[in-house]
Amino acid sequence: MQTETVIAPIVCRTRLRGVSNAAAYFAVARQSFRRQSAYRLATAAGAFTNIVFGVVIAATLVAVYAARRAAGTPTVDGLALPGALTLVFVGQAMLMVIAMFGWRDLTNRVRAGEIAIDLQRPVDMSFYWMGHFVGQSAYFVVARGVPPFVAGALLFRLDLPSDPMRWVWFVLSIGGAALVASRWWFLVSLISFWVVGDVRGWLQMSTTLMIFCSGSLIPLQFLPAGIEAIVRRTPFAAMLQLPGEVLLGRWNGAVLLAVQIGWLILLHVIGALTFSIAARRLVIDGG
Amino acid sequence: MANALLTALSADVRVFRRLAGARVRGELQYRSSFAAFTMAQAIVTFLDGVAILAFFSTVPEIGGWHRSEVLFLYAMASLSLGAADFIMGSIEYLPELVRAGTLDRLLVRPAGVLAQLLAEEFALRRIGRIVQAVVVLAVLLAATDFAWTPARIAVAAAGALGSILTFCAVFAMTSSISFWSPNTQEFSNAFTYGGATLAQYPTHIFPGWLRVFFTGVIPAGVVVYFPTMYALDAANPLGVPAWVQVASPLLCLPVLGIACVVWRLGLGHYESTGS
Repeated sequence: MQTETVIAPIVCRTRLRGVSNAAAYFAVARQSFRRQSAYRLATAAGAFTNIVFGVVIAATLVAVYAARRAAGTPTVDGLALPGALTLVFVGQAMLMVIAMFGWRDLTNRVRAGEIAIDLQRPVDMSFYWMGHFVGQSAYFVVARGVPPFVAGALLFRLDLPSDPMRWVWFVLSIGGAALVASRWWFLVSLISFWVVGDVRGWLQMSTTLMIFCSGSLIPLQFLPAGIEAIVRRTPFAAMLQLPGEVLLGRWNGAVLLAVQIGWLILLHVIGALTFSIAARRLVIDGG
Repeated sequence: MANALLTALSADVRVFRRLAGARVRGELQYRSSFAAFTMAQAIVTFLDGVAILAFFSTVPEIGGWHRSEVLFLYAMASLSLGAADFIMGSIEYLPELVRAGTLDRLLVRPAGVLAQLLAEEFALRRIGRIVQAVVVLAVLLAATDFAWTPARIAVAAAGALGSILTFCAVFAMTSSISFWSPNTQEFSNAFTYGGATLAQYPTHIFPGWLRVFFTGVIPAGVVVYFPTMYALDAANPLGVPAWVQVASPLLCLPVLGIACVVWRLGLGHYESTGS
């Protein structure tokens, strides 16, 4: 199904009505949300896979912590088992929200040359794709985030706070994570303007970086202190591990939001500048 | 009968080699993409090893298995998944062909459907995972003195072959579901990649219900675990009899049989799409 055939008329119509551009980007996000929600069965299959992976990783951690307890040191860097398991299931819930396994919507348009059509639209491309990404993320929070998290809470003993404010900050930081991820993937996708052919390998490089630095592979507490300190300062930690730690009460929610806004602005500016260079050197072949 | 089967098989292999060869030549035209992809594949598998090392930096053993033993298990699991993905990876595109009805194209040609399908999206870059696993195995064998005997070497080799074939069968089986429901490809990831993730750790550390699932339903939890346990003489808290460990590679045969039946049923169920 071609998204843009749906989105384009809406964007144009909102323009004609004289509504501000923000409304257009919101419309893009809404359409993106609706498009994702069309694939019910695929979503169910994906959520099932998230649950299986969460359970396998969590069960491994249970065994590791059992060995820790036997040695008389039941925590790792201050993190106890229920906290570690909470991070695992937050991680599974966030995978699709931050597009851990890659985001090909923009690179596919570039590869097919369809980006030429996008460029003619009276909208800012970087905000347009932000709307596109975030609409999708919003759907994934509900459809691919809640099921593994609930399954994790039912199957294992998680460390869930009773303080409602922590939940509020946690939810806000999920939004922040999606926005930062949208800027990261926008920036990475621009490589398709320079590399001819298949860029999936490059996107996958970004995926490996994200898997490691976000805390999705293992809670960052398990890394050697020096590496952990570096990894925690990456935007990827702010997409997954740190929101999880807000829920655990190990990180201040307001501080994390400030960090996320910082990354958002920085990555957005770099992305927008790179895009303006990319668009100028664009050549579309075709007949 | 056997002769006819052999002729058909060798014809399939010939078709596969020609078509896959063309794919590889095309793939190698984009060198930087090829390099990036192969590297990324190797790094992704490598990361699972990093996780194991990080765990062992905090504990001396997991479920009674030491670091070198779990690393060996992990390398065997990566090798099995990697080789199966190398051979069968293209089958992940089956749902696309079923949804669009373009499987017709393969059906009308005078060659085996599976051979064509596997060649269709064959990618040399999938070798990254295998290379990474082989490097880990080589380093482990050089740095650790496992007490090898001819019998243990034989069981390890048979175990590797058996688990490659088992994962091939799992790929085929779970992707065949798309003949009935082409939108559920992600299900198969739970069994193929999920199974391989589970197989990186000694199966006895997992809770009983999970073990049952990854033994009875999808045997990923035993085809790597049993032969490795025998080959390394590793801790055996479940008391698995030695003959079961030795015979476990044979488990791939019934699994392959079931996969063949499911594939045939699925192909029979395919009705193409309207135009």
